[in-house]
Amino acid sequence: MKSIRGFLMRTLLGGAAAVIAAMCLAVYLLAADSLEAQFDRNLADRVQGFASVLFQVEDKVDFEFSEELMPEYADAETPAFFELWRDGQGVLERSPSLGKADLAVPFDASSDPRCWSAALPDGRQGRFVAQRVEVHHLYPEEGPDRPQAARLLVVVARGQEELAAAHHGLLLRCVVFAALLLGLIALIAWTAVERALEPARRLASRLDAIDVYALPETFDAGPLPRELAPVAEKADALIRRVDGALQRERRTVADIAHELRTPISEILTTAEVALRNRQDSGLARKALSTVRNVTWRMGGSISTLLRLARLEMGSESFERESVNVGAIVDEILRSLGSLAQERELRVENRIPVGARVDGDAEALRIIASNLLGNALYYSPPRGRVACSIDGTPLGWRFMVENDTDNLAARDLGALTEPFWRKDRSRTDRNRSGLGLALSNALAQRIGLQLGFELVGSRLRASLSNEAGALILPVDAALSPIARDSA
Amino acid sequence: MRVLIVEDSDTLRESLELGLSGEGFAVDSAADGLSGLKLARSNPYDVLVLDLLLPELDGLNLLVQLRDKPDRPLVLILTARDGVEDRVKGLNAGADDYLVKPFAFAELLARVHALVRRRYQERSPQVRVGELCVDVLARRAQLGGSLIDLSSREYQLLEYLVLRRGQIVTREEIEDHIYGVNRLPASNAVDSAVCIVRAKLGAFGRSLIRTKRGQGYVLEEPGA
Repeated sequence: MKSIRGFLMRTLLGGAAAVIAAMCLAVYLLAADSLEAQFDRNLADRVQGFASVLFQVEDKVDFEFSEELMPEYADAETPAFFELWRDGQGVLERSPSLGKADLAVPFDASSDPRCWSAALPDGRQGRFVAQRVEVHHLYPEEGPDRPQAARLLVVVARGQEELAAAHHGLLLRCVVFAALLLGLIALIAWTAVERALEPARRLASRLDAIDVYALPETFDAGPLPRELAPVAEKADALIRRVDGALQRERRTVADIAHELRTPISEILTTAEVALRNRQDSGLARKALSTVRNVTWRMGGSISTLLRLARLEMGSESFERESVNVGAIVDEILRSLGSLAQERELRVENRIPVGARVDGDAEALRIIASNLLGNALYYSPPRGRVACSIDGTPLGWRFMVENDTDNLAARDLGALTEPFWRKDRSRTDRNRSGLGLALSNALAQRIGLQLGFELVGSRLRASLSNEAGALILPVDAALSPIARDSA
Repeated sequence: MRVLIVEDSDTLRESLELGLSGEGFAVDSAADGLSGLKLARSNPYDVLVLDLLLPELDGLNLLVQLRDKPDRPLVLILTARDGVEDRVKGLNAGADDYLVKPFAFAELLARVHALVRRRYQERSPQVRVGELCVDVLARRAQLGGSLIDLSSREYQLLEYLVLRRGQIVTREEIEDHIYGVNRLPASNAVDSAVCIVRAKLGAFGRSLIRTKRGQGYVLEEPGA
């Protein structure tokens, strides 16, 4: 539907036109029928008229025809016709307009008028009526000598020009009436549609007036018809979502600016101090090394940010293959072994090496690496880190748990925000604060859900798939493997 | 002059320490708020360069806790937070200046010098005492228009005495202001340095810097 107004006008006018046409046709047909019946009655009356001027004396039938009284039967341009047949004796009388011709006569006609249409002797289309009539005796004394009343078949015909003209006039009136009615309906429909669309225009105008930099707390759409209320509600919800997204974006931009300011200051100050001590080659070398390290760190953050942006735009493609998630976790934990050892952590890996799930291997590796890396990094010394994978009714769930001594329930929603760190000072330059944001974006793009919950003093990160099978090796399915390391 | 830097970025803190030391300041540093507060409470710093987002104790809280310290240092906040609200908060908490990262080291240096002048109520970077003229920005001293050849430490000593001219300055105060906490001077280092400076100032120097027995030293215009 390209236009509501167009659709409503087309539908309303189309419907109205169909109804009016049907109505007019019905009226026309009824009226035409009535006209024809009246025309036939008129013909039948003429038959009765002839009957009234027929007299029987003895056995002879007299017919007093006068052209003056019945001029239409004279030999005129568009004459009427009649013919009187006496049963068993042939034509008694015919109209002057017939000359010596005969009308088509239905000899089986009864005393009831029979009407039909046929061509007149002069070629015009005509209407015929035939009726048997009994002639009156001029001297109607009853008696045994009185001859039997003569029976005549009277046939009257006249041209249908008047009837056709009446039909034509009726049709014209019907068409004009229909057109006027349709025009009136179109006017009413246009006005109604315009008035009905006015709240939509008002809603659009209010939406248009919203300043994207100062989104209202609640969208005031003003009084709206019931049908548009859901649109206003959805618009309000959309504004809330847009506001949330904009705030997140502003926070992210502010965070990015903040994150970059310190390393840029490091580079600038290091370079400026080195330049002030040009003669000190050792200091210059140290400064260059510092600049390289800081730049490298910044580059890493920028690459991650760019990847996040690409993920949000959906411009990264992913494979779907059978991934040995057990082997990936095993490999990651091996690479983090020194960190676990240094922090005296107890690491429990309950994922069999052969455990397989469907997904993108690189994305799963990044997500698992971030979850396990964070768990080992942020778990208090001598804490316990555990990872496992379980089948669920429809899919699977990969979990990483670690002890935590500083996270609160309100922090959980912020864990996947770029640059969020519990320590607001962000002193720890080894963690960019982008790992979980990247993991969350990757999980969403490959159809997984990343969630966090606090279970007592332990943080549980869950990566779940509601529509994918977990395939465990046969021996592991019977008795899950637990490989602990300290 | 003695400066304390409280900054959690190791790289930035080390660079600032190196840069300010190179400019003749006695510099101490701390990587977190609590250590910074401890140092600031126990040492007479002239200027405190303070980051706001610090582990253990954030910069604003450190400022508030330092407010009651007599003779507290002037504070230059050095932070990545650039909002007007942040600046207002920092200045209201007791900071004397506010510099947003990233910054030019030359600007930071100029602001630190300005704070030092403010601390010693000097309007001009060139301080004159009779024929002696000390340029605290150029870090040089002239006597009757001739440049005096001073080592960094000797210049620091002369600058401190000039800025506190007319006042008796104890040996401890001199030690506190020209040596950092990690570089404790030898027991007679101050006396030796004063002797050398006097000698480099010639006859004028002997009458300019006088010893107050049992109290310390006082620098004042001869005949004042």
